[in-house]
Amino acid sequence: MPTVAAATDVQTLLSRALADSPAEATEFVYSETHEDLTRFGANTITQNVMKSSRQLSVRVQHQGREARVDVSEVDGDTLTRAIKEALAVTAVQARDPDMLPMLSELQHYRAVDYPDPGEMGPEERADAVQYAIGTCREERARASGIASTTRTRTVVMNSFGINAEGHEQHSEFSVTAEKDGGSGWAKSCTIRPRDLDIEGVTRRALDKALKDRTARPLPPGDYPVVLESAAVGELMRMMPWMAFNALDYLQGQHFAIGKLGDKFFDERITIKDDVWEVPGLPFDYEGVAKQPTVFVQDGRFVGLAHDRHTARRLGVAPTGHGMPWPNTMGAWAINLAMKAGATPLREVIAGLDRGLLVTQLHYLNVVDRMDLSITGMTRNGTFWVENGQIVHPVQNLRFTDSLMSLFSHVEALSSERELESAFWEGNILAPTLRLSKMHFSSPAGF
Amino acid sequence: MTLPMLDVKPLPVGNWAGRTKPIVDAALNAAQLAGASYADVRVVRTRRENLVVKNGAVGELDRSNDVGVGIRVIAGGGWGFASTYDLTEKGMVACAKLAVRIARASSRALEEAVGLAPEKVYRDRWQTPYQIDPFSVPLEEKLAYLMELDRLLRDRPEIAVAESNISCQRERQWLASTEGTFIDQEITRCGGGFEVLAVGNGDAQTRSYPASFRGHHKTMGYEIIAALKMHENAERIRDEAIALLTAEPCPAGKTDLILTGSQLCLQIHESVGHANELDRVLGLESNYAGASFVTTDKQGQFRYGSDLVNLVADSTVPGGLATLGYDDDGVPAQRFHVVQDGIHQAYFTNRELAHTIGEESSRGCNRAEGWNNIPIIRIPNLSLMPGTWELEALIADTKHGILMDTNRSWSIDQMRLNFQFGCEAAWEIKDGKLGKMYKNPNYQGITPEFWGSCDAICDNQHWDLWSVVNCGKGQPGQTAEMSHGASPARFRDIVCGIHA
Repeated sequence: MPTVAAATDVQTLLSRALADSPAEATEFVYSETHEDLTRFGANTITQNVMKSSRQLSVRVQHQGREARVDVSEVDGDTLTRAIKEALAVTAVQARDPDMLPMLSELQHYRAVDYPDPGEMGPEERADAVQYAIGTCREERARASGIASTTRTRTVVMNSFGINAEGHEQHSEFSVTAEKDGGSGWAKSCTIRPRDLDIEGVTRRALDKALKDRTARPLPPGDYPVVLESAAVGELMRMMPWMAFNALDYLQGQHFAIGKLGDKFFDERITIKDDVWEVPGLPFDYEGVAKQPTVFVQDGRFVGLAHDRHTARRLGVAPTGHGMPWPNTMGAWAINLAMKAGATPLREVIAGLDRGLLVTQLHYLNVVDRMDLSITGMTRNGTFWVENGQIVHPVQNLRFTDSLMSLFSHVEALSSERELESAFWEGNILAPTLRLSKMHFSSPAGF
Repeated sequence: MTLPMLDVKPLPVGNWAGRTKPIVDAALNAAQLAGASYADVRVVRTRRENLVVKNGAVGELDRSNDVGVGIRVIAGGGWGFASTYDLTEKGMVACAKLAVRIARASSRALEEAVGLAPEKVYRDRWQTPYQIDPFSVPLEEKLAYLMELDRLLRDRPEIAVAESNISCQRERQWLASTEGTFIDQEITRCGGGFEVLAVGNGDAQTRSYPASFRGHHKTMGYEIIAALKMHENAERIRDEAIALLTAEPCPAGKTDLILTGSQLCLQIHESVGHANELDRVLGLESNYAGASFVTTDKQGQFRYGSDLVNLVADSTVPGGLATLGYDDDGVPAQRFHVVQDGIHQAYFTNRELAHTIGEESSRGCNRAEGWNNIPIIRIPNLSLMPGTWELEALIADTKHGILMDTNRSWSIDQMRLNFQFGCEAAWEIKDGKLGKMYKNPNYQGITPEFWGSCDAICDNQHWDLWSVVNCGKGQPGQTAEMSHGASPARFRDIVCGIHA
């Protein structure tokens, strides 16, 4: 089977095509992904796949115009055809006086240190699944989940000598255990499959499911909460497109217009994008070297994610978060970390006098971008806590609240953090949070 | 000038009768020799063209061409799937053998061996009917259309962003199985839309047309673009966005609610569509998307909505984004009631799971995104059948209420019960007349209570097949398209105006 190709194969092919391109400027973004994933549900393996994908994106600039053509076949002949078609597409456009030339400044790419990925073949994944199913069966519970590994190779090259290559890896094992109407969930995200905590994830999910049975209804209202790291990760996932994207700021659809530097959150909240802390590509899709970028510093909103185009408009340096250009979406930060707190995890929960412990949040979406309000559901283990101890499970609730309010009512952040998967790609490093108030707007009834 | 679309090399997928068929046969044989009791091969080639004009300039102009093969097998009673872009015989045979190895690993953790509902063997070709091939329309013509639209949209200073698009897609798929089925299918999709962002008065407000999230799409040709009447509606939508900047917020409380067809589209999708996918119902999606409140004991007897509510799945309806000849199990397209006169009737099934609810054959709902994903149960076209009301008469019949239009956001719980939707714009209804505009409207409900409160549905003249082009499901994640037909409908006593 094809694996991630030897570095020289694609590099050589692309270099040759760049040299031969008749366009004034040519850029290639090559990406190749192999995802091995075993999926199980109701105590049986339901899907087991090896997914390959490969894309070569060709952008040309010629006579003040630009266009992009994507292909999945990667050979000299197809490349020549793709460049030719992209050139033809430029010819139908009007000249763009504001077109930004492709990146030509020398970039220094600081390598992201990935350990040897190791292997997790279908048999090893099946073994992990067998363990989860067997353990849950002993308690007459149902197990669902995934065991997966993903490897990606990305190359960005252009006519001006930009040549960036990066590799990413991600492994994940998650389990949802269900019994008598109760459900529990846990997940392990690591770089190397061998570091996945198969036993720990299974035990935590099962323990939650057993505690979650006979959940009682709770009226909507404001409650103190402890949000476990997965729930905090879900909240953080909303921020790249609601708060951190410089294009929204420029277009006037942003909560902090003219207020950069102002304090919006609790002083213990610091959020940054840093691929050397949360592994990812050390460059963006135009080849700009990624920089650690702080968005929230000690509660103050201090920064935005820029591609070269928004950076030019605001007269600042790009931060290395650009997507393949041209696009209408702006820059995306996908390797987010919230700074850890000083409170040990146990004490974060122990310090909750009366309130809710939330395992997971589900299906978050925007209510109003201008005040960062969002809505979503609790899921897979929501508990009423008194004096730091779980008293009983609670039926799921919908929350409607603003990120500004949630991150302003921080009582404690855990010193431990967990790696969570980002929705699109990338990862999020999140602590557990205790908040003095979260607004729950309606009950789910289960 | 008509630009030639980049054509992948004519072989191996361009000529089925020539070199590709023997290669696919070799892959099927390799799978059987390795121990597969069933195998199918899908060679898929997808062309896309996406054109976006933003604030007077080309915002996106990209074309793509993607080709590869996915091989699915049953061996040792378990599923295995592998995919490759290497379409040589060597590459496809290796892919088939890997799929068998993966299937054997699956067999280590099975409750019961996978079995497929019987299905006839088909040798057929099917393609989307269309009048104008969207790939044959010159780019200059598309650009000129969008540039003129852009000019109309930005003719007021409050408009910070105007974005309009036209996109088209053609998917050619060859499906061959060890049962002898061979289906050559070509699906063409086309559509477009626009949105404007108005900024002022300390606020920013968006309006879209004909629907949000890149507009309205169907399985048809370029003729859809003229039918959408984007130019004709540009000034109205632009002015509504500006009016929203000074509109009052949607009031909080319970009231009668009229939803337009474009919003009902997503309401149907989330609260009926996903809830009736049989894999969810059986708990097979519990770890990710969730399960469903429509448990199998409810089939045929559960009251899903009022007597007026008829929801019909139809993969044969002309123009539907999920309209096709056969699904990826090789099962012919079908039409059936999911809800009839308010009572639940049926689930979306595939050949693997139909037997779990006592059905002898699949309802043809198994689809995969492209070549590198395994087919999973997908919502087909699913529509709320029209009623008898004129919209004007329905508004006149509503003493106090709110009319909401165009989806802005959506959220629903893991059992598909508690939902909350936001819309772009709303209007007060007072004494049977539309009144002032409201901004940031939203509403919340519980699925069967909500559909149970439906007491009026507008007629055929107001009905259209609305599109969902970005339905995500599964791990690895897959995107699928489908349509939901709807006309405006009224729901009594709904919670509106939920805010932080």
